[in-house]
Amino acid sequence: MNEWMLLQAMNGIHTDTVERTRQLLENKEVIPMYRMRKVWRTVLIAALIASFFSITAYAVFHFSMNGHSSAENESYTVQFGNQAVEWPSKYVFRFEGPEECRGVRFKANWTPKENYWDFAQPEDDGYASLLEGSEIRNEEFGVFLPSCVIDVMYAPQFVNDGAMILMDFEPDKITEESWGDVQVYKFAAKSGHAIDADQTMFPTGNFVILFHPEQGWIVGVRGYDSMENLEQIARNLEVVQTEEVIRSTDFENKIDFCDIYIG
Amino acid sequence: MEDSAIVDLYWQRSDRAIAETEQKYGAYCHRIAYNICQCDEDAEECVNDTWLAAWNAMPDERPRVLSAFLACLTRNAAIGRWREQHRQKRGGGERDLVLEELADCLATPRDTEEEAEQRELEALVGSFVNNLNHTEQLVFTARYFYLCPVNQIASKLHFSESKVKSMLFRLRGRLRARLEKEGYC
Repeated sequence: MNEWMLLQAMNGIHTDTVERTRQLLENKEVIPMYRMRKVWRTVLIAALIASFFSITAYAVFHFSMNGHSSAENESYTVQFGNQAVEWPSKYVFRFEGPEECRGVRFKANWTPKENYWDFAQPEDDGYASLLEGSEIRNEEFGVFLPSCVIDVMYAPQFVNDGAMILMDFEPDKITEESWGDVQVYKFAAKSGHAIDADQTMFPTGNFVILFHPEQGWIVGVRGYDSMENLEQIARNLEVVQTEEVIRSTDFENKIDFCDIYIG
Repeated sequence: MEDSAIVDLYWQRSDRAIAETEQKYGAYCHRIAYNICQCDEDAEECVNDTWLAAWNAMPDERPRVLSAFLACLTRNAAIGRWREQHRQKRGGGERDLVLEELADCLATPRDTEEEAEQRELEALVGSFVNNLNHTEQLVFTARYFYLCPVNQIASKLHFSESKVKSMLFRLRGRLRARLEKEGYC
């Protein structure tokens, strides 16, 4: 292999990524958000009406999280400064509630093996806001894929016009559980994009999403490790609140991703 | 004209196929070729090569994203041209030329092997990029697929140049680790 072959091999980058980058580089017009706003207005009015009938539930749970499969014409536009890039998503989580909450960090008290984590941030005291596991060999396709990624997002980012999207992943059956005060969403999801140039390899990842309705945090534990391992990691996570206040205005984008990446 | 209609024209072997492609994607392909060749004339020839390659590839192929398909063809043409110029500058050419002429005699097996290796490498790069987060995908693709200058990437994403440089540095390190893991270096 030499540098020419490597340069040529960039042709293996997925066509959707090439196209999205083209849109960004060609300075496409900002896609108007009014259509989403209209949908949201409807959703909010519906939520308001619903709240009259369920005052107790609303008082106990400060935030709410609801997921749905994306409709054909649903689109999600992410802003980079004044540039807008449209992202696809098969499944979306939406949130309602206050516009601020406290920050959290977490500690993984269980791992499937020693030296499982490749990268942790910031973790000066054992508590992190991002953990990335080293890559593991996927036996189905014979390639290396991320074992586990854990990060945290906050409901205030998504209230009003926002959404947490499962970029390019289509969930199988979603199992909802309650672990104490935490709502848990477990599912396997097949990638919507192939990881090979021949477009034949669509790996299936596992997701365990933890949502604390009172505290407003969402911790996503997901990767290509087994569901058993990811669930064990999630069950043994210790999440602590910090003094930091997270506000909806802190975020440039009200759309964010819960997918499997290393970065 | 919609991309699917342009592809239909190729499949129908219509004379309008190339004209419509040129109208919609001529400037885009020229920019890709120019970023690689750094010469307007060469870029123009690469774009013409691209139309010919597209004409030869369809039918048989039905690209899902026409712009990305044309981008790959343009890159192939431009990288080939750049590589050729690089070879000529390197050493007068005769020795390399003789080797190339002789290699023609062995073309089939060697080409097949190289092609297989190239396809494996493409799959690896594709998988590597798929596992990046979305901002990193944009930065990596802009730099190494489109060969965009760092300052242009920084400006489009509203990042500082140093942020883009440090992202690229980290990404190269991770790609190197991935290549080592798969036995490429």
